[in-house]
Amino acid sequence: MADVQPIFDKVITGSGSLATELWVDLGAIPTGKKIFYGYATLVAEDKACQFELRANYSGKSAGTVADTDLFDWCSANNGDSNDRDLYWFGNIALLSVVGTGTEHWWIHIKSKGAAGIIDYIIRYQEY
Amino acid sequence: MGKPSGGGGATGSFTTTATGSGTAGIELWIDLGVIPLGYRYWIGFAQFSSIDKVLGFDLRPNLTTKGTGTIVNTSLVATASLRAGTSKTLDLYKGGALHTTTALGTGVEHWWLRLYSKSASLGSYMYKISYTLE
Repeated sequence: MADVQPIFDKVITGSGSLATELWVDLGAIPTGKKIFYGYATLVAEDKACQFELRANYSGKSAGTVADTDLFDWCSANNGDSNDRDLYWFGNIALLSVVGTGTEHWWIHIKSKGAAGIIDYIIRYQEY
Repeated sequence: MGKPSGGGGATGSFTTTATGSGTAGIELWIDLGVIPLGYRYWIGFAQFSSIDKVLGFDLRPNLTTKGTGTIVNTSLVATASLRAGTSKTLDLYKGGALHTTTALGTGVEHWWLRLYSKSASLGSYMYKISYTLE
């Protein structure tokens, strides 16, 4: 096969635990760049969770609903995972704000009840 | 960009498959083999089945120069969690939008499928991974 030229050449992975709410800080949006979302896999290992992909509004940096814009969401049942196609063969361009050194991007996870574990993989590019 | 040709004489891009089945308790590392020296594996698609209990599946190649199946010595390139009696097919190629590869082999690195569960009782699984050498 010939060499591919992947569009989404960066990946971020991780895991965490939560009771009712967790904000996962994916880091600062690079100055002068946007986060271009490609694909995400979101895992709820042991209880039902709702996942939200959020990024700060320009000039904001806190992981709060008021300071972030919602780009995508999904729920995963106990022991299930959800694959999100955020690109749709070029039909969708989900882009964060341009980073000024302040803004971060986040996963906001919500659930009910006892502690549970989540995992994630997000494929993206800095655009 | 590598793409399969269409119509008569179609050729697949990911021409090699790794398949297997067995039972898993809390954790199982399946050694998919050594990454050939000077090459890397390019992973296209993965299909996982969890037949009778909740199972998580992680596809994890070794980091460069590492050879053991442990979290710290591998990187996560694909993941899925399946409820009992379900299967999932992961598209790790997306028509060329993704390039999901292992590290370049130095003769040491393997690639692994890690299965995990909250339950120690044995549950059955199946997998098929389509890939090619790059």
